[in-house]
Amino acid sequence: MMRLPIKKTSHYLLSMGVVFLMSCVGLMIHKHFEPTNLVMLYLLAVVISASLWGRGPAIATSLISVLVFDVLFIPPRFKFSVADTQYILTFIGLFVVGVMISELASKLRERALEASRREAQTAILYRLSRDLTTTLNLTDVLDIIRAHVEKVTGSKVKIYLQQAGALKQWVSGAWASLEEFDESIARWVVENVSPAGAGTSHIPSANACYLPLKTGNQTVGVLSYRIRELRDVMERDESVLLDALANQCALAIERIRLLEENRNMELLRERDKLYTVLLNSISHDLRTPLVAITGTLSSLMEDGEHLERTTVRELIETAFEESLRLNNIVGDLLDITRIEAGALRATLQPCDVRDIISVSLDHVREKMGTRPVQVDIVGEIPEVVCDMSLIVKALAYVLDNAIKYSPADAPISVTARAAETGVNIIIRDYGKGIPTAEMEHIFRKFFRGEHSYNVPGLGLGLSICKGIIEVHKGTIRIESDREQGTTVTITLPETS
Amino acid sequence: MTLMANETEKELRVLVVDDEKSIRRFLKASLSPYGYNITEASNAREALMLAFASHPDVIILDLGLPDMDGVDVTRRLREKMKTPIIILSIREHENDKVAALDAGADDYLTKPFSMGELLARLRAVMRRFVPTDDEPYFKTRDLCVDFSRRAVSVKGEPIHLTPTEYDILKLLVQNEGKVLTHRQMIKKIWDKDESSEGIYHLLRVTISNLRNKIESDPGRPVYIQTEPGIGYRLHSDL
Repeated sequence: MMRLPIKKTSHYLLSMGVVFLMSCVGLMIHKHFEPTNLVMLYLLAVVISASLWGRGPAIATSLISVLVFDVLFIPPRFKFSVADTQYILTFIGLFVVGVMISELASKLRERALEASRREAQTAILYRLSRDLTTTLNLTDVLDIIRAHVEKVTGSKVKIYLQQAGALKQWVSGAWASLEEFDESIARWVVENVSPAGAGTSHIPSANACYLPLKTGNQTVGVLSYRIRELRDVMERDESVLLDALANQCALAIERIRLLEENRNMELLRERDKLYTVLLNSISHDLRTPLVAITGTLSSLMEDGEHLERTTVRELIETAFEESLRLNNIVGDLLDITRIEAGALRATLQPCDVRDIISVSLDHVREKMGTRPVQVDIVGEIPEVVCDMSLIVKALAYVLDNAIKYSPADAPISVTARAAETGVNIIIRDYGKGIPTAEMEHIFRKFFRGEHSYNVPGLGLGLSICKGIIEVHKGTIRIESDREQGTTVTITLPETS
Repeated sequence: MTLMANETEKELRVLVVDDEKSIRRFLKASLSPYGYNITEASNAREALMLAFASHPDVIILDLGLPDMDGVDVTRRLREKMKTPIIILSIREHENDKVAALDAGADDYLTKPFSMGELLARLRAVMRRFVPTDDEPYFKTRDLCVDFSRRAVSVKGEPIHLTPTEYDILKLLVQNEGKVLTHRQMIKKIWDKDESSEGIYHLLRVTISNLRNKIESDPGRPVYIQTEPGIGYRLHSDL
């Protein structure tokens, strides 16, 4: 395929070498043979040249053979003249036969070359299609295409993709800075679904060739590659091969696109399902307190006078508790929405950790009941810079969990101690712990453990808690043991 | 504690400012039996007009009004009158709350609130009408403060306080049940503004020391309550 000038010269030199070799053999044996029989040696040289290096060197071999044969073996020897005219016939015969042999041999050689070229192309196409079918994402597909096309053309390659009606160049690290390509030509290619650039009829002066990547009904993009020298432009089979490559690429890209579309659809469907479940659960949680409240109010409105005082009191207390619960649910939903939207603002101020803990405990005082609470401030601890009301809220969520998931008389301990990077606040309960399988989901919003089916809550507490702690650039860690209960460690940096 | 109305022998006039009709209705229905006479305003313009015209005894002001920022309303009211103002806010208005208190509001309530809380706040702010200075003696639970002798005792045991600690305790006692913002306390005690170097820290340390002296469990204080992000309040017996 590659016929470089240097290689060609060497072919001629080599064939001269063969003539030289044959002449040496001839000189060794010429005493025992008739000169006409020595012609066979030169015919052999022609055959060798023809089959190894093709037509040109073979014809040159024939010509040189005639001259050398004349000089070396035809009397008067070592002179460029012929004594016996019958040798003229030998010369003509040698030359004509030489040319014919070279013609035939070189045809054979070309056919063999052609066959091996086909084989190589088939192998390239096969490898490409094999690599492409095992790939599942667009980036990998494009990388494979690039690697293969670069190998075939031996030059830089750029791919443009048709995305959402616009042509975008596909950029990846190694070839991001290629400026030798002209996007306007690529756009023309997409519009006209026909190749352009060097070696084609449209803008043949361009230094790159642009092939459309087309599938049955659409053009998914443009494959372009640099042409190094004009001489290189479009050998026939190369262009056929590249067409085939482009075809494969187009199909692969389309396949990935369809796959992705499919995946997105699947994802949407899953999300839809999740939303429905969530919505059902939230609307249940929102409605339950409302039922109690409206029920109470309607019965008081309709026959308040006939109800006994204790009944009225009971009804009102229930409604009041439910309204507080409703307020908490709404607050939680607002908090998590704010956290997820990144709209949670912390007003930072240095705070006394002892103060933070006592206010947090006040928040859950009623739920705490008569349960023993141990507060331990270990040594001197620095002030932490935080939004105290947010941190109090986070601690209250953790305390609330400790209360909900441990027996009514089990103690809860709160410890604060200086840590390497700030202050650790450790809240420990002696409850039933968290199953190991649930640990990794514990901070997911709306996640509720298997023990929580009869415990009120939306499954937002820890998600909100984590959101608040993260706004302060702190960390929250949970360790749990089925025997020994749960320990939550919140680390707050000294200065956020 | 007895009802305010009985103490002053006159019906107290309350201006309720809220754009939500249901809240005005609820406040009117709930406060009237306690001897409060309710006037309603649904926006800032109306509120300012009514306040300046009729000089109510106390104003309950919602921060989220449609026509004007609640903080500005507070400021406008304070320019002309000293009438106690109680702010109603939702949790999302944390910063506005401090701004309104610093602008001169007397206390705040976070919606939703219970009637008990509102009545306690009303009683606390109305004490401004009953001067406490000539009352030389204060007692709540185990804590006693004798202003005439600058003496403090807990469970009958005399407690030694530094002058600053005493000043803070006195300030809190004089505003019993009412929230005091950091800024207000810093201004009153040290006559400095909040940007002064280390002044916040000084306030926290003094409060902490004061608690160590007067609280039986300084880790769970019962007298001096922290209002996160806002300030402190001396807990009043309800």
